[in-house]
Amino acid sequence: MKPGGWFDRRGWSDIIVGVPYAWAIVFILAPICIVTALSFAVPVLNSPPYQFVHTWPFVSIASFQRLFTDSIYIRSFSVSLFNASIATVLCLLIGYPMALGLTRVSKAANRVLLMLIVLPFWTSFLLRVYAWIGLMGNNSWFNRLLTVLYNILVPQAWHLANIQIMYTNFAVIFVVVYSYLPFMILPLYANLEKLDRTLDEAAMDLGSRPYQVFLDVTLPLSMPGIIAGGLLVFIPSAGELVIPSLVGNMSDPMIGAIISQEFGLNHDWPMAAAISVALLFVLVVPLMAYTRYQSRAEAGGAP
Amino acid sequence: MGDPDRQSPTPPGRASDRFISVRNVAKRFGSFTAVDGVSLDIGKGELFALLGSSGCGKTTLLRMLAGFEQPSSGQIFIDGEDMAGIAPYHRPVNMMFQSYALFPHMTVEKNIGYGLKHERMAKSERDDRVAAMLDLVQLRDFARRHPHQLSGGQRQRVALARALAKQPKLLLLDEPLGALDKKLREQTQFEIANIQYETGITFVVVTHDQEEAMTLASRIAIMDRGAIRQLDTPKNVYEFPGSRFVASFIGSVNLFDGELVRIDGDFADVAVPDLGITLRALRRGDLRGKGRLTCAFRPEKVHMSRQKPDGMGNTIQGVVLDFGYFGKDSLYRIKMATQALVRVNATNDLRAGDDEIVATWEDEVYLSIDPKAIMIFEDEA
Amino acid sequence: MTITRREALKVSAPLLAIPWCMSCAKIEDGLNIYSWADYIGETTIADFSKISGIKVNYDTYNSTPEMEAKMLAGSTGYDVVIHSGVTLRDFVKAGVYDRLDKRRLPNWKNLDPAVLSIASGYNQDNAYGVPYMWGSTGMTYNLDMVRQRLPGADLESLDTILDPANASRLADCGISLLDDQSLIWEVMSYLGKPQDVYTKAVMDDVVKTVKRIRPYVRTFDSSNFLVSLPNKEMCAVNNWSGDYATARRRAKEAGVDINLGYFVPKTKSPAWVDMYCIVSDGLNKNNAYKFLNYMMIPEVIAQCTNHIKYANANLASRKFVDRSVLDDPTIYPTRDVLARLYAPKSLSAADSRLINDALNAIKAG
Repeated sequence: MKPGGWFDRRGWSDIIVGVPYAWAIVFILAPICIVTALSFAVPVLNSPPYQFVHTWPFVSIASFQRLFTDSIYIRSFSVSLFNASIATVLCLLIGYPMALGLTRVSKAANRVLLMLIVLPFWTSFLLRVYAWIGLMGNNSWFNRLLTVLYNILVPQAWHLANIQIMYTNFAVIFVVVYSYLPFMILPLYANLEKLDRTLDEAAMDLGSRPYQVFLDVTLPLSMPGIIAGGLLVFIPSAGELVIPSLVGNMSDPMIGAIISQEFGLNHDWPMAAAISVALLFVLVVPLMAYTRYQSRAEAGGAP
Repeated sequence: MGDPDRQSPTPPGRASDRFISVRNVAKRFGSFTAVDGVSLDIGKGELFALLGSSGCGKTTLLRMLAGFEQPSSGQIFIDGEDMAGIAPYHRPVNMMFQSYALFPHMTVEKNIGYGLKHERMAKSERDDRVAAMLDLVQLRDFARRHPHQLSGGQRQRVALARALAKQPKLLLLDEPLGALDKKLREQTQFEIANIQYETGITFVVVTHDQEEAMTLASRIAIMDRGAIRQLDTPKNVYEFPGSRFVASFIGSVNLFDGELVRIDGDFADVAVPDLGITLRALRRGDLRGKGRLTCAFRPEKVHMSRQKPDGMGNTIQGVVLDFGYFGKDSLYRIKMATQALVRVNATNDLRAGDDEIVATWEDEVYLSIDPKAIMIFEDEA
Repeated sequence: MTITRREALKVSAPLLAIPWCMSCAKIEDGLNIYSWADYIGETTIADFSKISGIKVNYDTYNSTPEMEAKMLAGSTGYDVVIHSGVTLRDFVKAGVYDRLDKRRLPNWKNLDPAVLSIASGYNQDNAYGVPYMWGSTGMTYNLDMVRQRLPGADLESLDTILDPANASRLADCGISLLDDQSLIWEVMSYLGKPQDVYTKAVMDDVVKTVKRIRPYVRTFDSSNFLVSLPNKEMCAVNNWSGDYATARRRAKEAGVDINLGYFVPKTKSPAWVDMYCIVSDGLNKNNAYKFLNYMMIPEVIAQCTNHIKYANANLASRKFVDRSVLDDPTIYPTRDVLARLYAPKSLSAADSRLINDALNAIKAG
């Protein structure tokens, strides 16, 4: 290629700009289009097990109709959203003090603590869930310890042989919180760490006690971190499949289990696709709200 | 400005006024001593400056006044009240931060009104106070803006208004002009002085910029390595520096080592080998006997001429090595026969082209210095 | 833009090669097998390769949906797949598997007529699958824990868990039911309903029956009992015969002193038969036939059974199977128990829906 050709003039910047677009189109947009198309097909006994309607209007909304008529879908959607909301709030309540603490400890301690927070990522996610299964089981030392402590604290009439943790919705939320906590802490920490500490001093100087400083200054200024961390926890935990299937109770199925069931057990790909599309909508709404919030924050500065 | 009182060596009001009193205050961080036994008194309504280079302890002293640091030893009194153990949010002190520390998520009026939030005050009264502050800093039209929509000068004024809104007994200003460009600084420093005069609040300014300190303050404390080296009016600090350090810290100065030859009434003769002559200088009251000392004179106190002046003492001859033309004046560097360099500041009070006096490269010139303009110091050398 | 055609080709060449690379993991002139994990003899594949000279690529799966989704999507590159009988008919209809040419499987004669008769319920005349291993659906009990709570209970009757009086006493030691249509079949048989007839009324009865004990059921699950049984987290587990053996082995390996028993309900129970099938779009059909025929050699299949402790469908292999395995009624059921097993017919889409709705209703509690 001659010097001064396309590459030298604008090739490099075109490539840099093109990479995220190419990625988004090939790995995000195209799959979403495929899944959406699939949701308008009908299941047939074939390989692959779906078919598009051959007559006008060439789409079938049967799957979507079922979505709204069969209570199992609405119910598992609400279970998913409920669990994800509770988990997100708990992650925030636990993660916020941790992130704030991380910005206040010494540099050396900060490095060590940050590493410890990321460290679980180096072990298999499944392994950590299995470790919790071992701990939560009725015959584990952990459960026995909890039971003993519980029995000491309550009157004899309420005594239990063990505390049923496994196969409960509580176990699902608990393990989700454990698993996703770093996704809350890290963006929060990145946000809090950037905050100008002299703002705290300024507020204190103007008569605010430390808790007022937190409410007036730290908290509003960390909103972007809270929202980023919240989405990082909420969205994947709403679609969580592995944790509920290992520690949960199939009587409160989350939507991930239902999609998996439609796809794997019932071979109803269009139904699985329709649920996925619906889930996408439910999760995209908060995401769009966040993007709006961000662009507004950038334009006006007012959160 | 234009207030003659501000130039007096004692604070306005009563000379014995000890509105702010710092008693032997020290602050140590581990093995490092940031402030080393500082004592000073500041009068009510005074505009006081703490001047020093970075790391001299001035900011630590300021933070102890604000309550962000507690003294390791010593006491601080504000309006007669011991500040020991009193949290920043309980002190009658407000601060204007170097970075302004405006709350980015609040509008200008919310920023200014923030300090009033915690005071028992009717909303109408609070609104009036905020409006008054906006007027004071001429930002009425910007009340609903956010800090990032303001210019640097406007932000500085918001910070000032916010710190003044609570009508503190003491206002601390940390490098108040540091973030402004040169044009704006000049205008703003007069504004600050005016606002201080109007409100009558005691101001303590911390700065590393001597010009800022000199133009703003009625008195300056020059700090170095945690201690106050001199505390006086700007004029006295400049004209009568107490030490070689202060002389060289404030303004520019020619410094030469010398030896006291004799004392002659009000004058002292000092042999200066680098200049090749014995300089006659005004004697300092406490100067006794013989010994090594330092002679100092400021470049603008040197008279330069191409003809040998008549009847003036302290005259030396040299050659113009180079010079810089600054418009209203020029700075010359004159090389002595001994190779030593003397800096001379000459006012360009004649139009260029009238080259009777203006010297140029390689010109032989005569320098003469009024004995009253020569300072001598025993402390260092 | 001054990109030449040649440059464009250079850039796009790797992209064009992607589909080729995806299939190049599979062997073109060899054999690609897709099987349950841990479901074959230790040296079986190596032995086959040595004897036949065919290079084998042996992949495994861990769940039925995982395998079924792949096979339905097609173009897997596999030649031979282990498919469970229950869903085989649908996959045959979908054209996933080839009709077997039995003339190329001379060892077919070694198969057990009793198992073939069950398996033919899954595919007429056993036209599509070579039965491999088989077993039953039933209940695994922690005998000590159950007998302590229900002395003298008839463990061969589903009354033990479906009668609320009994279930309430087992609730504290843990009841787990299959999250699978097998549960519906078992309960249908228990209620004396005719096999393979699915109506709303029948399903309502099934749901009503299980709902009575719903409060005492700890979980619905098809795999986690492999962990919870040895840990004594569960004492009454609805599962498949093979899982009982695995759970018992795991407990033994972990040194847990546990007394497990497996029972097939007297009121009929669905049998399961896993079959080797030949994939329609496979490229190595000759080798596939060679392998399937090899897997019906009595000595070869006996080795598999001895290793994995599942009953095989090969009658001629019995004299090579270890006595301890052969005499274990939970592996090779007695004639009596064999008579209780049946092969449910393949489900229509409507039947499937009814069963799923019933399952969901039961689980919802």
